[in-house]
Amino acid sequence: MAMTLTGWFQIILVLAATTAVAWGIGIYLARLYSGERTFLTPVFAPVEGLLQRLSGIDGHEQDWRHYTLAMLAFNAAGFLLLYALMRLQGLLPVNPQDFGAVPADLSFNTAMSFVTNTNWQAYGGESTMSNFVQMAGLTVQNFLSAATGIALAVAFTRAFARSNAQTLGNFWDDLLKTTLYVLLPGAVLLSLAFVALGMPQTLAGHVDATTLEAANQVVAIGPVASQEAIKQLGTNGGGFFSANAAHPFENPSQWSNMLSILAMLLISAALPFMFGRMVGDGRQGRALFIAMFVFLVAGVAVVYWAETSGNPFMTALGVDPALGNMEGKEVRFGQALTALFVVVTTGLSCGAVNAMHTSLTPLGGLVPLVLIQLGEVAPGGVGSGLYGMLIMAVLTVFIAGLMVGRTPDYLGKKIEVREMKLVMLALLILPLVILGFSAVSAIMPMSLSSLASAGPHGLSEILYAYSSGAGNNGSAFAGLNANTFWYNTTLGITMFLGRFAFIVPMMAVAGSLGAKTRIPASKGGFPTHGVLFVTLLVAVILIVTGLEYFPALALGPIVEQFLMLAGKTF
Amino acid sequence: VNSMFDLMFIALGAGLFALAASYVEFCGRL
Repeated sequence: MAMTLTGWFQIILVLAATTAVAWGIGIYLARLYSGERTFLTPVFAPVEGLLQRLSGIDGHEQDWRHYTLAMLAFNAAGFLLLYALMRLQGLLPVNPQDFGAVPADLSFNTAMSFVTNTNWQAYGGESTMSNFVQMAGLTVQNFLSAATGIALAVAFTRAFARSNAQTLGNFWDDLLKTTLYVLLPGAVLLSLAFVALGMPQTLAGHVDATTLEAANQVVAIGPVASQEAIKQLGTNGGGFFSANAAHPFENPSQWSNMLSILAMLLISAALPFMFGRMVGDGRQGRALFIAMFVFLVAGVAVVYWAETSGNPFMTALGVDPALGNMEGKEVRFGQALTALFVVVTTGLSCGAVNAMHTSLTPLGGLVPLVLIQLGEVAPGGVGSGLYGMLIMAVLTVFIAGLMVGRTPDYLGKKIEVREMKLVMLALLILPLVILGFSAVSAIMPMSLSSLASAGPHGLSEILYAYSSGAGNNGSAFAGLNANTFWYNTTLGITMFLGRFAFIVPMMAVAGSLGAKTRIPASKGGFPTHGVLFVTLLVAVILIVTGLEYFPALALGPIVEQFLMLAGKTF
Repeated sequence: VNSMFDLMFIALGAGLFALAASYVEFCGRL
């Protein structure tokens, strides 16, 4: 089977709808974070005022240190609370299945996972977590980790928008505004749409059904739609069910699939438009948006082509090749929207899955792995995608500056030695953690015993797990049994470092740039809104990623693709 | 509930956040 025109039409329809809605939301976000009145102000201002009075938020401006420390303290408290909820699950209410305490190592892993917006799940939701923990623990963190990411991206944007500024805003204020004016209304609307499309929303634990063979079957249900809404909107990705968005209750139809993709992309795609508006030059935001979508479209093309080309081993077994490689995929979604979901969920740091990534062809599996390793900038997680892309933009103008021999600047802010040191600290943490832990896991019997496959596919499983953890993605290659002491602990540490060891130097760059004078653009400057800049930005991201990960990728999915064509499987 | 493991994982989590807080100071001085 080949790619079809209808398939591409579906893909383009979803991406075009996303772009149109994201542009509007970008304008809304710019108004919100600039302190202007929005159409939701009359609704939420009284609630905001009340919450500010109750919590003592006075909105005073913070410098980058205080902003970052407030963010860390808030997330540390979130980690401890979520850990406690899981460990005390058996004593807490709304536990219709009577689940006991979640094991300590799994609680550590899951708490880190949801606090860092990763939502890596080493457990089956319906067989491990009570409805109370799902709602009061996991869903709450879905909101708060997303709000944290967006707040940080807004602070970084202010560094470029302001001149000679010692402060970047107030973390608590930004967090409250994001939750109240962005995530909450978005999640309510989306929940209602998902319920209308057939997702369950109930506090009941399960339904007892009698099958055609007269056997008794327990069908798990629960507050699925509400968790699904914020899971997609906040690029969290942690599913109510173990099978995630491949489960018919989490993703019942083509419509819910398309709405899920749109919801995942919406905020991350809107933030570059917000950036452009807040720095006073919409073209700058558009350039970042185009660079993000170049990766997305290229990724979809490769996955769609690779998966429709099929798997020669299945054809040899007598499976009809007309539908392409359908192993691990849902018939109701089809090849085109499965390819789009795979690429969007990994280009974003969402991590929801509607197909089993380990069952993709090696080339099809390479794409999500690379998209995560790009640093989650295509278009990345809510907030983290924008600040990740801005770090790459700073690196790009620095390299362009070296080429032409002049001091680089980005949006009128001079990029000097200190900023470049910090940019390097932020960028190098990801390969250090991913390759370091993967290398150790690839030689220890304790970690190797978790693998479902040998050879290059086994290496891909390990590499994917640590890439997903460090990139705060959360999707899994599905073959690896990660619910072990080793993987729960090391992946927990990986998720933490991938999130916060990137954020701290990034915020230091923000503090440093915010304090600089914004000089007006000169004729001899390097324009950062044109085709040349976008091309250079895409090339820099590809080259940096290639230098870091190509040797590991060559030993994993790349060699596996060649071996598949040569008739060898694992 | 195994209090030894709980203590270990709580200390690990809190330790990582404390490390990140000191990383703020390090980056500030850079």
